[in-house]
Amino acid sequence: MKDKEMINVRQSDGRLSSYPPPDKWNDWTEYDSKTWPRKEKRNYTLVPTVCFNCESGCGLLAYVDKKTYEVRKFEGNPMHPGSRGRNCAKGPATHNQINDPDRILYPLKRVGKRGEGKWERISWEQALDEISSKMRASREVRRDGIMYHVGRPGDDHYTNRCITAWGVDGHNSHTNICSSGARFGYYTWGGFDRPSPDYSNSKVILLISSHLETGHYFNPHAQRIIEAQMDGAKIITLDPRLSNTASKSDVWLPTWPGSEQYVLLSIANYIIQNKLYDRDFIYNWVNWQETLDAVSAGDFPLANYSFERQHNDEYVFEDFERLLSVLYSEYTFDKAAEEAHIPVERIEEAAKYIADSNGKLASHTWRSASIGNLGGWQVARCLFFLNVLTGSVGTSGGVAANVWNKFVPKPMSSPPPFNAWNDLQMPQEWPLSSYEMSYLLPHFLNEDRGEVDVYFTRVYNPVWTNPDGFMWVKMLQDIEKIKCYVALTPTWNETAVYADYVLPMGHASERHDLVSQETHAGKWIAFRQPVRRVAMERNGIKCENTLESNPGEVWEENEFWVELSVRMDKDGSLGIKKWFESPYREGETISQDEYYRWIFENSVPGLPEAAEKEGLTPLEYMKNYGAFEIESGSVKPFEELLPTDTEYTSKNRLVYSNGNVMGVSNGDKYFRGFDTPSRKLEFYSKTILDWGWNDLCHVVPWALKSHVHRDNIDADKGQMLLLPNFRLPTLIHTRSANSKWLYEISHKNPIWMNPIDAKKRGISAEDLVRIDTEIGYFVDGVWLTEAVKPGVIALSHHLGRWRERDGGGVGPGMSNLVSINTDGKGKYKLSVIKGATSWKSEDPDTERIWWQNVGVPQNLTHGVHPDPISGGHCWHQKAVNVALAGPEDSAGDVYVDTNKSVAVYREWMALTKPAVEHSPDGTRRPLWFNRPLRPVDDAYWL
Amino acid sequence: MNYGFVIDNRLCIGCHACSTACKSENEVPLGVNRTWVKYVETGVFPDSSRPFQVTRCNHCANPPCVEICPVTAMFKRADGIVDFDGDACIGCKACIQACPYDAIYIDPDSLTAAKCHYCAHRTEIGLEPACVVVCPEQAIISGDIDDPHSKIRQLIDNNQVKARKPEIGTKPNLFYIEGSSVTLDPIASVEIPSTYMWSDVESENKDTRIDKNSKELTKAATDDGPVKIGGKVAEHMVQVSYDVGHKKAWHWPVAAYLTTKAIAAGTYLMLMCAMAMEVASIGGVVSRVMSLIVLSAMVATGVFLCVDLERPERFLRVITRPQWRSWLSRGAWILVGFGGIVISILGINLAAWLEIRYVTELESMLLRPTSLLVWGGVSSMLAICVAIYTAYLFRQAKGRDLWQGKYLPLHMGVQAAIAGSAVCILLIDWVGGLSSMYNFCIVILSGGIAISAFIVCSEHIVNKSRIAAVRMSNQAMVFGDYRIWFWVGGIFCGHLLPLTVLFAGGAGFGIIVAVGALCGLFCYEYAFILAGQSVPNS
Repeated sequence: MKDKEMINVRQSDGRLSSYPPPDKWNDWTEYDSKTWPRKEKRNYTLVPTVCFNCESGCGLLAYVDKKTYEVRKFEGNPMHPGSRGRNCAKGPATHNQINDPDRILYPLKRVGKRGEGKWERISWEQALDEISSKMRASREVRRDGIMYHVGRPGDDHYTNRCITAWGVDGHNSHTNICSSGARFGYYTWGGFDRPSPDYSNSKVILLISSHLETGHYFNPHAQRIIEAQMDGAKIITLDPRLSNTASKSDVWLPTWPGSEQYVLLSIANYIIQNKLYDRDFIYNWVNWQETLDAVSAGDFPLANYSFERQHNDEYVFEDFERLLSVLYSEYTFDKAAEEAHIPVERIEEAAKYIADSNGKLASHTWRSASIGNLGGWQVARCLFFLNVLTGSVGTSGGVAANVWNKFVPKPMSSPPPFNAWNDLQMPQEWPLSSYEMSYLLPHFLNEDRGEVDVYFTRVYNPVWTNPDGFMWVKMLQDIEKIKCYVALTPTWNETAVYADYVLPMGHASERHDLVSQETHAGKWIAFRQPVRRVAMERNGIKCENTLESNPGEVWEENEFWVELSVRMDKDGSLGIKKWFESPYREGETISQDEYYRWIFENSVPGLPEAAEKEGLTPLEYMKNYGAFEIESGSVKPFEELLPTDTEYTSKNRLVYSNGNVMGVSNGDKYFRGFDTPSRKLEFYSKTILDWGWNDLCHVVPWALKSHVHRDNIDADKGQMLLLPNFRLPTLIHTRSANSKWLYEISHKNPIWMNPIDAKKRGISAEDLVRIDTEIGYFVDGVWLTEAVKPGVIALSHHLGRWRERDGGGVGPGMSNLVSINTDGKGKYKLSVIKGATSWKSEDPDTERIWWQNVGVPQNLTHGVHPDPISGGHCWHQKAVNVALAGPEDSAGDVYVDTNKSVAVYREWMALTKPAVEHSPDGTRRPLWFNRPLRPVDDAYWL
Repeated sequence: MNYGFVIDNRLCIGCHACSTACKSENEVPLGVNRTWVKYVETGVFPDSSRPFQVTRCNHCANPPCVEICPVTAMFKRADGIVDFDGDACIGCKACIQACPYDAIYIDPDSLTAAKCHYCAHRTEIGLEPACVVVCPEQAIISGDIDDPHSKIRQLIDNNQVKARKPEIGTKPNLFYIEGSSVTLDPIASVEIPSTYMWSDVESENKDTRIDKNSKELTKAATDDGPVKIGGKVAEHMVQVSYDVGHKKAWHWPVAAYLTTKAIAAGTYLMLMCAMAMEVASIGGVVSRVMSLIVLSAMVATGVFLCVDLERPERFLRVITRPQWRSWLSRGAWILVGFGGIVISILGINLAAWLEIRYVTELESMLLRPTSLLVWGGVSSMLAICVAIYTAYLFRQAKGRDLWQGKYLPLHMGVQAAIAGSAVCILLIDWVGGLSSMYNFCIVILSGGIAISAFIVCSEHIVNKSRIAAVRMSNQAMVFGDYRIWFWVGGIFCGHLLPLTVLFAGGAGFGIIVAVGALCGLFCYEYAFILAGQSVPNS
């Protein structure tokens, strides 16, 4: 029997189509896969949204059943310019998260002691009233009492706008355990803090992170990296571990962690000595004059190098070339090979490819070495140095600044910057820190530096994620230090169990956000939306808020923030309420539709026109298609000439207008330049020098000695290097444990160990091994493999979830049931009572959990390692002993002495150069250094 | 139209997106998989690498799962897709044994067979399979391999492609560009590890080891020779670092079925011999007892067959919707026919016992030499078929190399003879008239055991098969997980004990001889069935 009403989308030449055509999305019928070959039809409305399972912001298309509003599945959104309709394993797994049998469905309030696991269900009304009144009380007396600590932001400005409206210095982030090393490196080069490589058009791809499986931005980047490789580009990867990326590479450089800078500089040296660099680019866009000025003035720390100008009158570009040649001549391939402990031929091979990249070198470092090592920020400086030398900046196939490929549209109004500085976030010891010193918060509170009135976490699980987790437990249990703790989370986690309020928030398909990421040479925005709500609205059912379409009483942050902010300032006396008024209905509170409608109508170039072409409003366009491409292709904004309708003055190559630096002069032309003090790419960083780091190894791209340099690891004593900071292609930081399909593929983190190291210690494949760190130890099984460098052990820190009791915690199939005992004097022991088990729930799959080992939470045993400059946590650990576990050890054991944690913290603190002693001008932080939420300039002064 | 897949390993990054997209599209439960990405690590640091392989149904041109399916639940569509119908499936799991690629599983919800079906419910409305759409690298290419203009055809024509186990003759319609021999060959790795790189090992074969003394397997080697990575021979490491588990499909009921079937066929054949030797008549007590035993064994056979079905309530479909190429269907009809004969004989016997009219005439007519020769001969042939058809069913189980032995039909016949003579020896003490067959039984039994011993020795213990999977299965059977079943049960109880007692102890110990032989038969079959399933096919 022919099915007349079924739409067949087979193409005219017989090919199958990938997606239902967008004009059919509102009414799409498919056969049920489960009853096939019996043909049962199911009728869907297809609603686009944005994945929330990493930072990439890939498009998803939700298949919402038109009768039941059940979300049947998520596919890719073909209209999304970044992900182009494709997804990684985590995209489809969104379905697991929204149907997670363990999810939190109602607002909860603590009734027992913190962490005791006793809750009462409360209404949103009660939660809003109680929390907003605490916030108001805090805000009335100070501007640094409210702290919003975010793991995965998911949006580009919405929440930050709310915090700014509260008038407090309240933004805290996860960034300093993540990307701040790389950010500092990029920022001090060019005034932007992320790279945006144009992989598609590149000739050479140089990766320090494993971008074919993780990183910013996994799926969109992996597509373009392999595309380029198929077109002949060479992939070079530095990684001591055979990541999937390393395995796909043309050249794998399994460097000893911390030696990456030597390898990169040896390649730079090869390019310099053979004069293979892009001379014009360097001449025009590197701060060589400033560098030579510093040499001339005697400010430049030449160390032992002898360098004098050759001409009598002034320094010229040739002097700079000579300076490079003198400085880097010691970075030979042999030295790099020795430091990295890799075959020299491989470095030479890589160098030849890179030297030949012809302005098409796409390079990237994100977490990896730049956050692994003391001085890891120099990895990014050294890496980008190669882009500078090869002229691969902003070119097709080169690396752009994130801001050139990212579009953050302006909302209808922006609250003014606040005048406050929260020392718990940005203490004066780390004046150059990329982001907030978030992971040191427990240590700061431990030192009585302050307390927090209202502490929010959002999609953040510091107890499990951050190093030194037991310090977090200690802090959260102290109600004098953290007076009120509100956990905004879609799922249970190890931190939320210590909260006073647990407020359930939606997953990717249950909330609003506007996302843009620099995934490639181009700019796009994507609209995350609550898909059931949209489906209901398409059917004529109006929802007052997203609560009505979400399961249970799961809400979304956006609407929550509006409601909370308004209640915090009911009478408007704090000046907060006005920022949450509708631009369309005077005096009324803004709705999500209105908020985004305004943006789409007023702030996104080209969108209103594109919508009009289809007979849609801009909001309807975004609701229907979920994404919009603003422009595509490479751009070089630094080469833009300044507008000629303004009066400029020029001094020391800088171009001013009304006292503000507007650009840079090259010859007689005025260019926009880069967002650095010199308006050029800063080979020589005067800022770093000015803030007390006045030696050569800090002010120019140079190799800094890592805390895990081979000199610091005594192999004879059984010491090894523990590499914890890599991600698996299937895991989502703290939210993987709510995805059964992902956990089925990857659920444990055995210690990757080279057979050479295992043999030395008498370890065989079935053995348990105990790893001693500076502050404790953990016990785990091993994976003996030739895929890791001898001397290095690797285990991903994205596993090892735990719960202390059933119910109100991570699910039994995804976590260990543990007991945590403390002696009351700072020593903690976590013991596994049982591993993962199957259990009965509304999802029959939970009874089919077949795995037991769900890994070890190794981060608990990591001391904090704040880099004195970037502020990033240097993840790599010295494993002070690696040996067969003893008879008293059991799998999953974790032991920590927090007294030692404090000692490690103090050791690293002693490396800093505090602003009080080193600020060149009385500021806490260079004025040109931004903050996620920048206060008024006055607040920068000590 | 002939749908196929190309998996382009130049593009694949091992991200598992296809795996979760498939779980989502087809609502595949935990613990079973329609498609997965196998990882193998190979080589020596720093020359190690990790090839990935998207692994799934090959949509064979010559699909053994379709051939073996007794009820047409597995079927090849006109467009090349090998699809399945859960509503038809009886859960006999023969398709799982037939698939040389571990592509089929039993769905824990429906208890019926399932596998990749090329998202036929999507292609029906013109959409690509879910895995093709999700793939970040577009490394999975679907399309019509018969269309010279299709992308997939051109990829196949312009690249060197490989398929999994092409030598089996299944003609896979899934081709790998840059297929790696260490991932294509399911046993390129020396052993199943105790863990994978980030997951537990879900395997019932944890103790299976390839013979480590066998030189060719201690190195990373496939049947094609040593594995090369970047021009270097990978001698140090070939280990599977991610794979999914596959449960054994057939367990003790199948061994029990083989045993009771051998008893039924063998006992019937002995009854025919007894009639031919004029030891028994149709209406006599010998015939009554023996045919009752045959019938009971047949009933037990049927029960064991049903016990092994995942959907036993659907057992009649083997008869009512047979798929005639399947030896399961053919066998079922053989069993039905044979059962009919046995019931007829028993009927006549009971009628004679009850002195029902005309039965004496019928009996004497049937016992006339020519008529006995005809019906006795025909029914004996049928009994032999009962005994040995399973060998042909096993031959259709293309996924089990151990079961492809050339002596298997002979061995099953011999096993029936052993079982039949053992039953007779058991009966001799109780059933008058049979004692004159004692020597005949001894000859049959000892002869059978001798032949069986020869086959077992040459097929399993000597273990010189040129097929590695056979050697691995034999390893599991003789030295591995099933060694106790094999040695204590199969060899000692089934062979040594009866022979020793027969020649040393003599007449009075018939019961030991018979029970030993029958128990031994079950144990051997158990080891044979389980060990045959212990070698990974993917």
